[in-house]
Amino acid sequence: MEAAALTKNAPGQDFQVIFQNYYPKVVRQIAGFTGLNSVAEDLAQEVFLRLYHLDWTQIANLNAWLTRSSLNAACNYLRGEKRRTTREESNPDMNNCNTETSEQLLIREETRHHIMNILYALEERERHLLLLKYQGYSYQEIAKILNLKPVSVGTLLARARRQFKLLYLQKEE
Amino acid sequence: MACPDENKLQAYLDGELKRDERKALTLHLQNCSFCRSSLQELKELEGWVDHALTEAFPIPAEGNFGEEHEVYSAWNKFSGNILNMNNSPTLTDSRTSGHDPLPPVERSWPFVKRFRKYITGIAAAVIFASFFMIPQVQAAASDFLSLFRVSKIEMVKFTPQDIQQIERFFHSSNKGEISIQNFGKITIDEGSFKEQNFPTADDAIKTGITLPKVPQQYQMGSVLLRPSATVTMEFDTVKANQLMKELGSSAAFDSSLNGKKFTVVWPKSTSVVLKNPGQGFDNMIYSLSDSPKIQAPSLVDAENLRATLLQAPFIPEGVRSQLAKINDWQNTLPLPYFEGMGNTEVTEKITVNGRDGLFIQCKNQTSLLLWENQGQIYSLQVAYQKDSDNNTIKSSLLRLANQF
Repeated sequence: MEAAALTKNAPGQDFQVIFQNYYPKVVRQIAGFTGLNSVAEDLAQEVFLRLYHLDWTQIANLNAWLTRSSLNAACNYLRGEKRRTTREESNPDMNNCNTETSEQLLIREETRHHIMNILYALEERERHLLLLKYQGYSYQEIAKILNLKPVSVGTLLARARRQFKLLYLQKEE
Repeated sequence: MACPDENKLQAYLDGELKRDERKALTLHLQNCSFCRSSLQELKELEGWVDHALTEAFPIPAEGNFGEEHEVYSAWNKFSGNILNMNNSPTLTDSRTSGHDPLPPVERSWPFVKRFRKYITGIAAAVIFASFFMIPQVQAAASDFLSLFRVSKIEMVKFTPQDIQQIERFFHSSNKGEISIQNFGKITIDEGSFKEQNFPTADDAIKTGITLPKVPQQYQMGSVLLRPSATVTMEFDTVKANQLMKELGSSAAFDSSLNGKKFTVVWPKSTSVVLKNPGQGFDNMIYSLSDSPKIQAPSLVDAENLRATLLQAPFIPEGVRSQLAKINDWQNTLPLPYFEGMGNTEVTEKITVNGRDGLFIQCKNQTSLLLWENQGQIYSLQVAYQKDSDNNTIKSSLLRLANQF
């Protein structure tokens, strides 16, 4: 009885094919931003979990979806990490390390937090554009992932960068 | 070789041009100081942004993923999680990715793509409609252009149903693609310069740019200059009437309109960042531009034209009645607003400083207040906190608008 239920609920072979095909790429993409392999692996699991619970056979461009999801997962994680760091620092039990180091850490985290906020103030497409280019994707690849015309990538990229810089300068104290 | 556009310069910078294109551009750059400085600007921008991103992201991990056993164990973990989850559904809530979701299912990608084209078409149609809302201001001066400045703003709402209806219409017709081009020739001239961005107000003033007057208490930040854009529509009544007929409309455009040019000029605008505007905002973007101007041949039987256009069968009833309801149409700019789509969350018509205005809330957590006064369009934009109340933001913006 129990065994039957398990078999019924296990993910199908078709999904396994997709998983095995894309998993390394998703981990690489996330690790490109988070820089931590174990974190990247956990986040990749989440991305696929999310995909599994969707009507994934209906997704037209799976590679594009997974790439955008990877970017979002990595950025969400980095945004959340800042909150966790602040919490730990306000906890006196954790505060036994060198003060200067923790101060530097805090400044770095503030900068990162600021930049993440700017990235999130952009439209998703602009954010993805910046991040993909930053990761060294070609125009052709970017166009496919973001569903753009390859000939418009240059213009959109320059525009997204200007917007990013403008917002950054605007929000600077 | 003519000066390349920004797209090409950016592609050049990124090594995305074909060999011969690259060569030609290299040659051009040797002789064109304007393009050299544009290229330099792009290069600096790229450097600046990449530097900022480097600060945000740790150095990418070196690692070798994709080993067969790693993928396999990852799969085992994954399928194990799925099974656990099926047995205890509460686990689904344990994801750590926070409030900002992964992208939604985009099963509708091809649809969205088609759709975008129609939205552009609809926006064009609304602008186009505004061409025809022009009265014969001075019947006597029939050979001159009539010119008026927009002094009122009216929102024209397109619901998702309206869009669907338009889409269905275009799909069911045998004509294949029908666009605004079927009514005549449209040309768009984007003005003499591209967007210009200055890090400080002083930088802008140094290059001879006049900044809009700002209430004394504000400290100015960066400045963005947007060029003017001119949209010209040369009307082709033969084509248009043929199309109207094929679409089953009995209305027809007057042949005297054939070959007449209608122009909408969107003047250049200047945006300035104002620091610490108060009301709980860190920054505010203040933009000012002249009102859009519309020029049209004065021979136009405006009422007739407007009526004909409003009978175009692809305009959904809800949109038609909104357009028809605009009484002072000769001085009103209809702004298209797509409900529940794009970047806009809320658009509301309100009175600002006793004048017509709009309050717009965008999904990227910014709010915008836009109003017209004495032939000028003002706008104030602020970023708000995720949990801020809509009405609070609106009244704060209205208080700030009082000072301008």
